[in-house]
Amino acid sequence: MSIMIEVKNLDLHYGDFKALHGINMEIEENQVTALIGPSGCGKSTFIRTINRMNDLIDSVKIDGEILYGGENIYDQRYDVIELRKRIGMVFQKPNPFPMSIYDNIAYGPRIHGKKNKAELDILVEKSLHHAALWEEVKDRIQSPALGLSGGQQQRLCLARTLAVEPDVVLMDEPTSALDPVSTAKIEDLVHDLKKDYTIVIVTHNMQQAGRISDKTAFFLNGYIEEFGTTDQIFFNPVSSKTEAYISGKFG
Amino acid sequence: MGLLVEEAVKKGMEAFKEQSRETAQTVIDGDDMINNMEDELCDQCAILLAKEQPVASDLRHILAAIKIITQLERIGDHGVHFAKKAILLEGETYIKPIVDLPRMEEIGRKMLIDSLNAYVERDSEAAEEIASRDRMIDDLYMQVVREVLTYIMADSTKISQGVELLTMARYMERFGDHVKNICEWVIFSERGEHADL
Ligand SMILES: Nc1ncnc2c1ncn2[C@@H]1O[C@H](COP(=O)(O)OP(=O)(O)OP(=O)(O)O)[C@@H](O)[C@H]1O
Ligand SMILES: [Mg+2]
Repeated sequence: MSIMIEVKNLDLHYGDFKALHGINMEIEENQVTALIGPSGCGKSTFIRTINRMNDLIDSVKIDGEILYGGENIYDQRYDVIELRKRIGMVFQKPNPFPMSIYDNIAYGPRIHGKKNKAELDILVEKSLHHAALWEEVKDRIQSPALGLSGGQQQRLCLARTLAVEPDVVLMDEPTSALDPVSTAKIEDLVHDLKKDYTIVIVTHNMQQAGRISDKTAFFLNGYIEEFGTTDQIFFNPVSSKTEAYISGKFG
Repeated sequence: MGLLVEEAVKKGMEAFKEQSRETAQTVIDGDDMINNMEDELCDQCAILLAKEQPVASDLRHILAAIKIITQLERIGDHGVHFAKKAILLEGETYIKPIVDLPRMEEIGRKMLIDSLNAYVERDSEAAEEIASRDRMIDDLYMQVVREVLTYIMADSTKISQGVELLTMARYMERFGDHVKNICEWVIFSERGEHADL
C-alpha cells in the first residue's frame, strides 16, 4: 500500500486558539480514511488543511507539513489551484451552482481549460455515471441543478468533484443532510470509488465509519487520540477514550 | 441458565452415585428448559446487537455470551448423560467405590460457577486461574482410567460396567474442557484476543 499523503507535525491556530496539535497521519492510496470525534475536535479543520481550504480564513496559521507527491503543499511555491484540482472536496450541505446539471459538472473542467464540446459531453456523462446519478438525470441534463432532491444534489456535487479527475476526494459529513436511502447510495459509491480514488471522510455516524472505511482516526480536542485500521478501532481500541466515544458513552 | 446447568450436573452425579432413578429423571426432564433458555438468550443477544449496535468491548461481551451459552447447553447435556448412566446401572453394585467421579464433578462445578462470575466481573485473570484447575480433572481422569482398567483386566465379567465408568469419566473430562472454553471467552471479552488455555 503506498502513501498518498503524509501529514507531519501539523499545528493549526485560529488567531490565538490552537485547533490542531501535532497531527501525524499517513493517508494510504485507494483506501477510505474516516475521521471521527466529538463536535469541535478539529475534524473539519483538519480535512480542510489537506487541500488548503483554510487559506481562505485570515486568522489561520499553520506549522508542520503535508507531503503530497513528495512535495510539501504548504511550500511557498506550491500551486494551490492545481492542488485543489487533484484533491477535491464534497461538503456537508449539497451546494450545486445555480445553473444546469450539465454546466455544474462542466464547470471545473472548463476552468481547467477543457472547451471541446464532445469531450465535455463524455466527461459529464462519465462523472454522472461515477456518482450513480446518470440514470436519474440523463433526460433532463439541461434543467436547473437546484431542482434535484437533496440526495441527488449531493451526488451531483460528487460528480462535479470527480469531473476534474482528482486523485483524492475529501468529504466532510457528506450524508448528514440525507435520508437513509440516499445515504446508502453515497456509501455504496464511496466503496466503488476507492478503486480509483483515495478518500478521506468525516462522519458523525459510527456505523457509517465502520461500514465504509479502511482506516479510522479518532480526534479529540485537536489531537489524534488513536489512528488504526477500522477493524482494530471498532473491535479492540487501545485508548479507553476511543472505546468510550465509539460506544456512545460520551461526546 | 448457569444455575440450571450447575444443578443438572450436580443432580446428575448425585443420581449416579446414589443410583436414584427419581433424581435422574428430574435431570432428564429439566433439560428442555435449559435448551429453551439457550434459544431465548440467543434471541436476546441478537436483539441487543440489532438495536444497540455495540462495538469494542460491549460487542465482545455479547459475542462471548453467545459462545458461553452454547458451552452451558453442552454442560447441561452432560448432566443428562450422567443421569442416563444412573438409570442404566440401576441396581448394579459398582466395581469400585464412586469417589473420584464426584470429586471431578465437584471441581468442575466450582470452576463453572467461578467462570460465570469471572464473565460478569470481566475478570480475565480469574479466568486464567480457573482454567488452570482443569489440570486436576485431567489427572483424576487418568487415575480413573488406570483403576478401571486394572479391575476389568482382573475380572472380565466387569467389562461392561467398566466401560460405562470409563464413559462417565470421559464426560467429566469434557465437562472440564467446556468450562475451560468459557474461560477463554471471558478473556476474549476483556482483551479481544483468543487465548488457548
Ligand atoms: N474559522 C474559525 N475561526 C475560529 N475558530 C474556528 C474556526 N473554525 C473552527 N474553529 C474552532 O476550531 C475548533 C475545531 O472546529 P472544527 O470545525 O474543525 O470541528 P469539527 O470537529 O469539524 O466539529 P463538528 O463535528 O461540529 O463539525 C472548534 O473549537 C471551533 O470553534
Ligand atoms: Mg465539522
